[in-house]
Amino acid sequence: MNAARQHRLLIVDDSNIMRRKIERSQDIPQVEIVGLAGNGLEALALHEQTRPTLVTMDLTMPEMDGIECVEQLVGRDPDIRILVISALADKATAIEALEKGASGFLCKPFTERQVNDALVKLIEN
Amino acid sequence: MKRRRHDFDLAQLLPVVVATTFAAVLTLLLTLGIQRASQLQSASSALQLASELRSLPQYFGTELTLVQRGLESRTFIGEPLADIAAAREGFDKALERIDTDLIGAGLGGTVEIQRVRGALDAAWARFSPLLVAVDSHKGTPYSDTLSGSRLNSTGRALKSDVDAALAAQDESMRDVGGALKDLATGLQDAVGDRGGSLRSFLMIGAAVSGLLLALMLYFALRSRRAADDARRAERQVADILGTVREGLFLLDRNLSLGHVYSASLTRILHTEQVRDTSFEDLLRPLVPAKTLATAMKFVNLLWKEKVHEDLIDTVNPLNQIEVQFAKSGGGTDSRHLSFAFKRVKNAGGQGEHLLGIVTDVTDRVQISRELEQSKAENQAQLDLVMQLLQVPGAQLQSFVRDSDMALRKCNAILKQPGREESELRSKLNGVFREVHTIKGEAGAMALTAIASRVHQLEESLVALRDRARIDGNDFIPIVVKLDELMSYLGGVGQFADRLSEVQPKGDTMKSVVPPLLANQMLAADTPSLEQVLAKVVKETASAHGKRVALQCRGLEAIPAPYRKAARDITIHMARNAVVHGIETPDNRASASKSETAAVRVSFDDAGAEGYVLTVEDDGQGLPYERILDAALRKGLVSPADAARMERPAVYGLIFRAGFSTAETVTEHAGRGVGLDAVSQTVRDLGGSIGIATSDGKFTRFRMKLPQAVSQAGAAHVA
Repeated sequence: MNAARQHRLLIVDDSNIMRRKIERSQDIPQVEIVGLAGNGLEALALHEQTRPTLVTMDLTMPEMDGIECVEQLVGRDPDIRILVISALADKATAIEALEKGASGFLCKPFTERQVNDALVKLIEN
Repeated sequence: MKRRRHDFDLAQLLPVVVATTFAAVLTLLLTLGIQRASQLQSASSALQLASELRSLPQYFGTELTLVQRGLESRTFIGEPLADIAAAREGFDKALERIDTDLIGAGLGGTVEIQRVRGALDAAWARFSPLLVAVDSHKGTPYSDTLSGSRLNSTGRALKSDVDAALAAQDESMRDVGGALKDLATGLQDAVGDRGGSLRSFLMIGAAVSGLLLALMLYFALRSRRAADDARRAERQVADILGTVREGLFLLDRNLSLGHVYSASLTRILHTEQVRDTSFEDLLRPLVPAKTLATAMKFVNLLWKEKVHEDLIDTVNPLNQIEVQFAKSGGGTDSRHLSFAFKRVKNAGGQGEHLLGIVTDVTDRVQISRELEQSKAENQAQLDLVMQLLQVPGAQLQSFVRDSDMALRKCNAILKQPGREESELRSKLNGVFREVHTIKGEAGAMALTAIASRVHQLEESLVALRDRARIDGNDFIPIVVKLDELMSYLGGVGQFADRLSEVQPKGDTMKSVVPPLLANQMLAADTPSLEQVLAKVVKETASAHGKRVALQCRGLEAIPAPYRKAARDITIHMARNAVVHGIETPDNRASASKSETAAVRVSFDDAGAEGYVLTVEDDGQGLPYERILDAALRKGLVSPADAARMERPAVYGLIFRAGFSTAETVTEHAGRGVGLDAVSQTVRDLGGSIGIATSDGKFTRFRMKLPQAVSQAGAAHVA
């Protein structure tokens, strides 16, 4: 892993508390947080501006939900790596997001360590 | 993986490459050897010719001399002349053959040989015409005269040619002989050389063959060792697959199982149909269609390069599934299985297979369930103790006594004769009313732990009541559950007894229970009906998001024989009023009513006419249409009857067993048992119920009770 290479992380979650929690948890040196979005539409707009390489994505959100957002982001950038972070109410929904192009799933609630481990795995994959 | 495969390929290819190379070398050597042998043969032939020719010059000299002498003695010279011609032509032919052999021996281009060969040609060219001149003479050389034979002109010409040939013979033959000698020497060298190189080729060939043989032996040994290793590895794999407790299998890109899987797989999945079966077919009998579809999607995710296999563990729908297997002796066996999947990749990172691991986790699941259950039981016991501590001792004892009585009554009802469907249903309804009453009492005292326990029994009764047909055997589980409830409430009774031993000592209470609780317990041994109702209304209202004010009047004047019945009735009806009668604050506001509703409970002495117990609310009134709909739905009335029914008759339906308009069943109301229990109690007491209601305004139940308590009522009161 080239330390000079920066991974650009966009955090997408409709809960302010969750966004903050992910933001605070993330302490990987190669990762730089470039944006926080509260729904799918905001995420797409921020993607235009910030060109993230990594995304953490909630599934249930107003305006545009996570699954559609995953589909659109992957459509724009097939190499983008998306970690779905959501409460596991329905496995089929999580699987749908993965089918649309997300790379991993992390179940809420999560620990700081789990977020970091998952992001490291995504970077190294 | 790739490295191993690479090695495997090399091990297979190396002997072939080596053998081919060696064979090519051998072929080359043999070809060269054959060439050398052929050259050697030609050179030898040329040498032999050259050696033979070396005797010819002398032969020519002898024959020429014979011709000369013959001419002198006038004898016949035809024979030597013919011999000379034959020898000369033989010499010419031999030279041609030598040339052919020289080319065959590869010496056509050799400078030295060419020089020698040229010298031979030159010498022969000088001598050969002389011989031609001699042997070409035809005719008789003599002329016979009387004086004897004399050389004629032919003879003279011949003699002159022979003399000339003999004169040149010595020198020419020396030249020819010398040239032949040189040629023979050159050829001898060539033969030696060709022979030497042929020997070399043969020796190299022999060496190469030996080496090839050795290598072949080595490869044969190595391949045998590799085969042994492979067999040993195969045996070890078979040992592992035969021993491991998990069901292991490989899935290919088509999600089909291969030939290699652990023996446990068939045991865990209870099927022998595993080999070459698609994973979907394997799962189909085990899981619902929806789970199957999700599972197949999940497994397909593992082929997606982009998906990180460690990061999708949690969405595995087969992580823990409950499956039913048919037992050999009939019935089904419920097991919990856990499937896990891992990508099997080669060194190039290409996924070739998925490794599936299935484990029977039934024991683990059961242990964790038992743990949870025991945790829940502990919590329930703790809750119960906390709730019991908050109920005054005497009231608790009274509850335990009443409940015990009710349960005994249930047993008595169940023991009554009668096995007809209608009789069984009547028994069921009787038990129902008693159980429901216990639940209501428990709820009224905020003993939710007990109430929810009784609720469970009530659920079983509802399930039984909703069945199309029932028979006596269906009551067996009910009897068991009633026994359980009785012993449970017995435990509560013992606790109540111990509590009462502590309670009368007053101050000592504070040492065992928190002061607040102790004060509460000491405050009133038995709360008044008004207090109980206030609590019931408050809790029910808050559970249903309603605002209700309770107004009570004259309840303290209820004569002792009616207190228990009045208590049961008013608790039921007040709760029903809050749940069904009162609207939500929003609805009340939009109907221009006060957001806080009123529930009024009063008891009046009507003198000779007896007593009147009234429960009234200012809610939405009895919903005539919903009552009729519900009664139709439950089959309490036929559509034909429904069309004819007057309003009062419709309202009367709410007292029938099994009637309820509530959409959901809660612990508070909605069983459809409250009002029929009330109606039964009132009838037992020899009384009657009247209903008055107005849409959107109020509902009022008036229960008239006789002055003297009836016999049936006495049983209820006891």
